Amino acid sequence: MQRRIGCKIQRGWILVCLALFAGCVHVPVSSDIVVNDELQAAPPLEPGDVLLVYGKNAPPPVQNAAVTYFTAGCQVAYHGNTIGRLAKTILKVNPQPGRFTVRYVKETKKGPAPDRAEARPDSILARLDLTKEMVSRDHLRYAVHVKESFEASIHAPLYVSPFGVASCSNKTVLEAGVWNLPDEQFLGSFTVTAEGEYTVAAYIFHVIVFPDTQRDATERLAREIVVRLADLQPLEDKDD
Amino acid sequence: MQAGPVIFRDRKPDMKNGLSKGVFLCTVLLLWLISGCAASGPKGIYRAHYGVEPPESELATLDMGAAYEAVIDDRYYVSGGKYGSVKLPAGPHRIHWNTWFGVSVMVEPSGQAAFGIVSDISLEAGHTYRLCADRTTGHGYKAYHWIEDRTTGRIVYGEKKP
Repeated sequence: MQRRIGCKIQRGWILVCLALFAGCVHVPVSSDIVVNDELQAAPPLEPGDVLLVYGKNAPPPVQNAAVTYFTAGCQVAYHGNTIGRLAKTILKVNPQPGRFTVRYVKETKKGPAPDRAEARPDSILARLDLTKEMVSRDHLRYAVHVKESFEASIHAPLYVSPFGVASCSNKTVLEAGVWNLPDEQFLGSFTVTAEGEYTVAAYIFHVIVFPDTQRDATERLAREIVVRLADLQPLEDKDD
Repeated sequence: MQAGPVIFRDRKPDMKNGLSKGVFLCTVLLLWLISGCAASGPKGIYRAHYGVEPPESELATLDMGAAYEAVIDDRYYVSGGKYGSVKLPAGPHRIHWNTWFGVSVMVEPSGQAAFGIVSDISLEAGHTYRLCADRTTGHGYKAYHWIEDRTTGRIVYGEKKP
C-alpha cells in the first residue's frame, strides 16, 4: 500500500515537471537547401550603389480549424513578409555595413506614369515606375525580383492535445531574377529550395522539431546575393 | 509477521528521498527556466557610418530603447539584442524600427503584437534620442510610438502615451 502511494507521488512529480515544459521545447533544425544558380557574372556593387528588392510573398497555406488541431498547428509555421525580411537579411549579413543600400519596393501594376513615356511598358523600369534619369541619379544598380512559394503537406495528423504525433513537410522555394538597371538587362536567376519535416511528439511533454524553411531559404538567398552581387563574404546570420 | 514492519520502516525514508529529489529537480528546472529572464550583459554601440569616421562632435546618439531591431537609411541593420545605442552622423535619417508587446491570447491569438514604424527625422549633433513605445491594455488597446530627444526633453516624432 505504502509502495503504491510512493510510486503515485513520484509519478505525480514527473507529471508536474513534464507539464512545466509542455509545449516549450523547440528543437531548431536546419532545412535541406538546394541552390540552382543560373546567374551571369555581375560586376560588384560599388560604394553608394542601391539594390532594389521587390516581388511577391507566398499566400498563407489554406487550413481549417480541425486540421490545425490534429496537426498541432504545424502548418502555421508560416511568415507573411519574406521579401521584406530578405531586404533586412541582406543588410544583416553584409560584412561592410553602409557600403550599399538595400531598398524594398512594391511592384507597380499600373505601368509607367505618362511623363515616363520613354520606358517600354514591358521593361523593368516601367515595372518599377522608374526612369533612366532616376536610375543614374540614385545609383540604382540591380533589381532583384523574388517570387516565393510555400507548401505544407500533412504526414501524421495524430495529435490530440496534449498527446500524439503530428508531422508536416514544409517547403519554401524562392526564385530570384536579377536585372542590371542601367542597362535594363536580365542577368539570370537563382532558385533556393529549403525543405524540412516539422514534427511534434507529445506525451504532455512536447518536443517540437522545427525547421523554419522560409527563414533558411531567405538567409541563403541573402548570402548568395551578397556573394554574387557585392563580391563580399557574408557574415553569419546569428540570433542575438 | 516481523517482516512487515521492517519493510514499512525501510520504505518510508525511500519515499521521503524520492520526494526530496523531485522537489530538488523541479527547483533546478525552474531556476534554469527563470535564468533565461535574467538581464543580459552590457550591449555594444553600433557605428552607422561608412568610410572615414566623422569626429564625435558631428555625431548624434540613438538609444535603441523599446526597439528590438532597426534599419537606418536602408543601409544599416541594428539588432536591439546586440546593440544598446547607435552613433550616426547628424542630419536627416529614415529609421525603420520594430517593437513588440506581449499581450493576452484573448486579445491577440499569437500572444504578441508586433509593430513596424518608419520615422523620418533630423538628428542634431551631440543630442541623444531614444526610441520609445508603450500601450494601453485590454480589447481595442492602443500602441504609442515616439522618439524623444533626451537632451532637450522634446518629442521629435510620434505621440507619447498620455
